[in-house]
Amino acid sequence: MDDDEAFAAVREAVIWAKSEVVELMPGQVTTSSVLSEPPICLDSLEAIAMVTRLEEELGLVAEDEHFFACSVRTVGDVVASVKSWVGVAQTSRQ
Amino acid sequence: MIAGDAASALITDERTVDGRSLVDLAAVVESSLQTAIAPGTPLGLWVDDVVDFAAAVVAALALRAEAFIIPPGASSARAAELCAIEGASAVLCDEVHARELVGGTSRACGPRLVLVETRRPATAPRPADDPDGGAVHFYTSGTDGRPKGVVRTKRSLELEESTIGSHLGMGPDTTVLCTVPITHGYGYTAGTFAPLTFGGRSVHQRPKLAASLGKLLQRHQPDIVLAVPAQYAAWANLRQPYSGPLPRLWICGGAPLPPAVRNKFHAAWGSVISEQYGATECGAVSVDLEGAATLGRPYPGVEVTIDGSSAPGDVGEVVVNAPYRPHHYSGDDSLDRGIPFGPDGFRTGDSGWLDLHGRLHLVGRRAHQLNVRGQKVDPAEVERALWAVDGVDDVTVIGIDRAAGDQWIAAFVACSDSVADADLHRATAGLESFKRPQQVTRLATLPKTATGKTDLEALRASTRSGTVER
Repeated sequence: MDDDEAFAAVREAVIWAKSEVVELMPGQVTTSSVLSEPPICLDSLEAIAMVTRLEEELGLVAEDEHFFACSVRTVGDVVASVKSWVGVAQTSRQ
Repeated sequence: MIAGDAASALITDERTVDGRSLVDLAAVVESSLQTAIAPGTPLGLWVDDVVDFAAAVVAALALRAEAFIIPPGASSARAAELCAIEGASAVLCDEVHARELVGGTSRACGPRLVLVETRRPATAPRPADDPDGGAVHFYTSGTDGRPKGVVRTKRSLELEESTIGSHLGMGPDTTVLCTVPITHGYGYTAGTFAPLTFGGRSVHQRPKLAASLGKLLQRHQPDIVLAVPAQYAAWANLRQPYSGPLPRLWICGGAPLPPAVRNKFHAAWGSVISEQYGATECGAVSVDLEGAATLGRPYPGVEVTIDGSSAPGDVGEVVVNAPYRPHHYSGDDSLDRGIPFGPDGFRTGDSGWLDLHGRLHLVGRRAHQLNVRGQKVDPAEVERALWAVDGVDDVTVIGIDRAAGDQWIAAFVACSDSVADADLHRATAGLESFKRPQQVTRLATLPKTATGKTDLEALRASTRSGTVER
């Protein structure tokens, strides 16, 4: 998985997590506001929702250590976590 | 409080301490505190590690101190605020938090704890809440700028622990997986000291994802799992079939369990969640041991009544009289006004009913506090802000349930045409962001029930349908 693919997956999962969990009124959360904020501004519920979405999208099983072992602050951090997680999962499949 | 034998144990990711060692550790802490802490002395506890916290609280109670809990994630300003409320000049903390408390002297207190004493003069010790034992003060989140510390005496905590433990069938072979903080009443009693009292094991872990929960179930084989709805919602996303050991009880507390989460979890794990009802102000109230998708029957000795009810099925405010209930808040006596601790028990603010079998059902969570993004919000505070607008005739603020037991805030305002939308938004702009309503709906009048009360169910339903019957 390259950077662009990982970023696209994370982007979709973050937007999904924000809208699925937050359920704010229309117009109160926009794509640009979610992704342009550093830090990423996901609370714990949203972070879990994002990971479960990634599990669905990528067909892999995540564990806490893949995403919650250290501080995740930015979209870049999540992209790095996804690449590491996918790499480990692919290795274990082989 | 703790069966001081080698079979009971408190287990975390980093440490496993048997009951005897925990009692010994508490004795060391108690001994080192003895010269500084007299009975009735307010003592802050600001300790992140579960084992150290348990030892600290046992030591504080042995000294008959008035121990108040500073949440691990609190800022130093919040810690100072709680100290001021309690009139405290001493905080028992770990080394990290000791560095955050400025302007005091500190000394080691046991292997990993530090007693920080500030120079601010302490107020005179108040009469002890329980002359035989000390107390622990559990703070509920400050919703109106006035944090409330619920005073639980040692005697009341021990009674609740034994009540929960015996009702849930705890014994020396019991392992409880506690996934909520020990500093919360629910994690403190049911998750930690109840199993330790009965000689069992308390495992403190906080798995976020289903696969990680599965590993913990394999490793510790708990009999009971304690969690909150948000955790069950996350664990319901089980990606691979799980065939390992399962607990006999999955207890859910802290917030209402959404039916969708209950059903999804059952589909994923094949297990039924037992919902528990309780509050910091009255302890554990009831638990659904039959898996009847209710809040279950009251714990032994706990009396639940429905205010204004004359027959099963009548809806009214849930009032709880538990033998271990506290009787007041710490700090400002004025917090006790406004009833919650009335002669008949604690008025929960929740609407509910009892069925013919004595099982409790809630119809609305019109409680004193809303759960918004993990923060507590008092709807009365938001209502007061809106009432301040000239031309407003009626206001009601409610929490609307969303996924994972969380809520968002909806405000309904009856007002004259002279009130502009901007006025209403300005009125709440001064509140902290999480307290501002996500939706403010203007109505000619608020819908009322036959008894003249605002029809909260109609308002709640309107947020789903987009219309309100006026």
